[in-house]
Amino acid sequence: MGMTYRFRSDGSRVSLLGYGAMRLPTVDGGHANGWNPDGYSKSGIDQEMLDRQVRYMLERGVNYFDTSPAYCRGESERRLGDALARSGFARKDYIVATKLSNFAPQQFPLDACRKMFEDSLGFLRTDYVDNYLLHSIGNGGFETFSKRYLENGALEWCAKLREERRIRNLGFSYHGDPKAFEWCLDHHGEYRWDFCQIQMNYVDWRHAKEVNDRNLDAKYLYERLTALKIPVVIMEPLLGGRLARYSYALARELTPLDPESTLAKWAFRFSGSFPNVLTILSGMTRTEHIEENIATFSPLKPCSEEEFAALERAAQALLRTNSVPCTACNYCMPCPYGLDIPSIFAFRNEVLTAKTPPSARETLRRYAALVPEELRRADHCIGCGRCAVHCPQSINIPREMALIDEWVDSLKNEEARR
Amino acid sequence: MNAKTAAKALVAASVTAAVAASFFGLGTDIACRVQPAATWTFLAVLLLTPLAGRLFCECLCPLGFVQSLVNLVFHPQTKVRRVCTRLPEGRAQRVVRWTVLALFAALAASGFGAIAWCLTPYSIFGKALTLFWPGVAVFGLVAVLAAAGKGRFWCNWICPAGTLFSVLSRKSVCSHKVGRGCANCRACFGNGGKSEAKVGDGEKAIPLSNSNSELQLGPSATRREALKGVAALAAVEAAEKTTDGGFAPVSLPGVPNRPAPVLPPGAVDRGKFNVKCVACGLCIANCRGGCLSASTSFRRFGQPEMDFRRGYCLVGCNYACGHVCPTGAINWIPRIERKNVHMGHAIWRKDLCIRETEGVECTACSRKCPVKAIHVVEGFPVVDRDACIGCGACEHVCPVRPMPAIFVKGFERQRIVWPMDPALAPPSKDVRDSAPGEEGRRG
Repeated sequence: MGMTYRFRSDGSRVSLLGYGAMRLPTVDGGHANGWNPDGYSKSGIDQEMLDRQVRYMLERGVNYFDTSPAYCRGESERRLGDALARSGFARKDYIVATKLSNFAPQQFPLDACRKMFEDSLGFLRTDYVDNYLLHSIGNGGFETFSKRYLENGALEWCAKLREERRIRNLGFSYHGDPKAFEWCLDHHGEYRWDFCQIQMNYVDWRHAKEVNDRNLDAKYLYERLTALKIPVVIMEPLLGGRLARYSYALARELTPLDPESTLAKWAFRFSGSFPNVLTILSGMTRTEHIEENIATFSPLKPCSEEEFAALERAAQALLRTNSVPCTACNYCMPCPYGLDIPSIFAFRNEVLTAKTPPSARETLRRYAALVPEELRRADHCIGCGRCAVHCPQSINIPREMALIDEWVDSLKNEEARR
Repeated sequence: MNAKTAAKALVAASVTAAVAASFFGLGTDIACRVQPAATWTFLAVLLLTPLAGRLFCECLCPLGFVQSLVNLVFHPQTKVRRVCTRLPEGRAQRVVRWTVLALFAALAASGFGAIAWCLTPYSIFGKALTLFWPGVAVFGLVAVLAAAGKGRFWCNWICPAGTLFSVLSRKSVCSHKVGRGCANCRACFGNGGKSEAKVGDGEKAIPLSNSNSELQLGPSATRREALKGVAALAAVEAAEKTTDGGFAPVSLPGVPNRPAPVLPPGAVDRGKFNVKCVACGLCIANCRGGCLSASTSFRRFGQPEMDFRRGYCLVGCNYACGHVCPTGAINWIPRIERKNVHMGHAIWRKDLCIRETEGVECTACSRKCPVKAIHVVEGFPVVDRDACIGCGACEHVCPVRPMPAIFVKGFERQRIVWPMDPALAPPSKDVRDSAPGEEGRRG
């Protein structure tokens, strides 16, 4: 059976599984954005592996590739561009999405934006971009959105690019401040959004607002977009792996229904069950992820009512663990003081989602395993808050770091008292 | 090898293994009490020696054990271990060993206790496990000498404890007398286990009563606060980031040139501590916070002092260091919580702080302080010196490189704050096993 496709109004087809080039494989076997068991990824991206993976995906019908100038320390576009060019497939056979990632103030002026776009074209070895996105419009609040896209005329310029056919579709990705989202939809008549990228999965469907007051539930976002007939591109279907990694809370609810299904498959099937979804992006690092996910999508079996109910129960169970909603996107990195923020959260979540809480000694051992360098642990956070403005999940990182450190300290004291 | 020799070797091996294990946190309760650096064990051995001979050197001393082992391996033909190079004490030997003993006494009496203890076996053993090379070198040397047929050269020529024990055991019931008519033919070396005329074991020879009095260090005004005004951030430049992922480089800070060292909690008086501590290294090996390290300064060589680069003194710790200390140099204070022992206080350096050098809103030290002794007032950290216990958490987390902008200065005499609350004051017998309650961490 082949890949499931969705069709756009112009008749072009988009594979329901898309590739997100945010966690490219590295030579040492990790991914470019993070820590791996061999240490902090200092080695470069494994281009040969990426070439193979991209060809593999194209051969099996995956045709949507999403990247950004900011990803993988700025390497992502160039690497993906090389891999696509070497794949042997024609430009029309795949869809490339990239973004206007002007996060830093020095990138706000229109000239900087123009340069970013031209660079993107160069790196991607193409003369047009299929899908161009305003990157994470709610990050840093509406004021930042206004500075990034409105006051400098970047949005007008993007619309013009579409007229010139240098970009084929214009959209935006949304995290953070709801005002930015509402503004964009209110101006749909003016800018005619071709698609919109939102974070959607069975936890965020109804509980995004519960996790963080600043968020909007994915159900609300999806229904607003559907009402306006704007196709939806899904990011974080697995919440950065939180929904794919073993967690007792999730497994207890989902495994009885289908013991053979992986947790990742459940999450993909949830998102894929909605008809207005154009594609579901997954940042697949390992070839095995790719193989497994392609199998899930070839074809994708939509969820039944009973399964939706089970997924809702699983979402509630996960929320009860109070784990940190970090998706390891690495937007906060590099922390200027050297902390490994995503790994610290991964450690915290691993302990919180365990069936029974591990002993103090075991917990500290896991900390040492997941954040091996002492100088990158939570206690070295100075509370400057430079990270927090970048977090798409609006996590108050300095506060979480203080809490985690306090908790770790209490464990250390508990150990020292023995 | 006869049964007696085998038994001694077995005891020696067990003792050495037990003491070594206690360095890895195993069986510290027993080992640190039994190990001969412990005052009571030492006195017991002292009393037994006139009767039983130099049992210490053979059964309790790690250096003695190594020499026995090497002798057994390299000189198996001698049925008895060769215990000394010349049975009747030679003149050269006499001069050397008594000079060493005199030197030891002189050093200890003149405030160089840490150097004096360097000559004793448990101190050497501890240095092998903490500072590594200084200790391992001595062990290597005695092994080589033993292998070269010099027998227990260290015990008989150098070790001050060995000398002391040899005097005590001169009239020992169990040892063999060498009569005046001895021609030094060494025939006795080959027969059944009788040649141990003068095996001595090294224990701390100098009585601990020297410990108070004039040996106290001065208020260590000798060292000037010589911190260089270099503030380099371990972090990447504050330039706005444009891409995601990656790691800023990190590096360990340097050791600040403290006006006074920070001693483990319970060391109370620096002068007394300096004499009492034999630098056996057990506290360093068992530190729960990972902050004790062996001093490399001349006068405190091998003795524990705080190094906050890799950890800090935990407020909830049950004095692991005091618990294992065999000599009582670090007191275990049963009735009081760790946070009530003030080891020193933090000193903030404006010229190094990144608030001044980079204008960063850093609150690392005040966030980390377990007793809330650092308050940020108008952006500046203010240390409440009455509340500060000198645990070093602030120094540990300070992001400034190469020297932290906040560091701990140790007290000459540690301050113990007895709880005001009468409910807490009466000593409870099993306080050692019970959790010390609220830790006063930030809430």
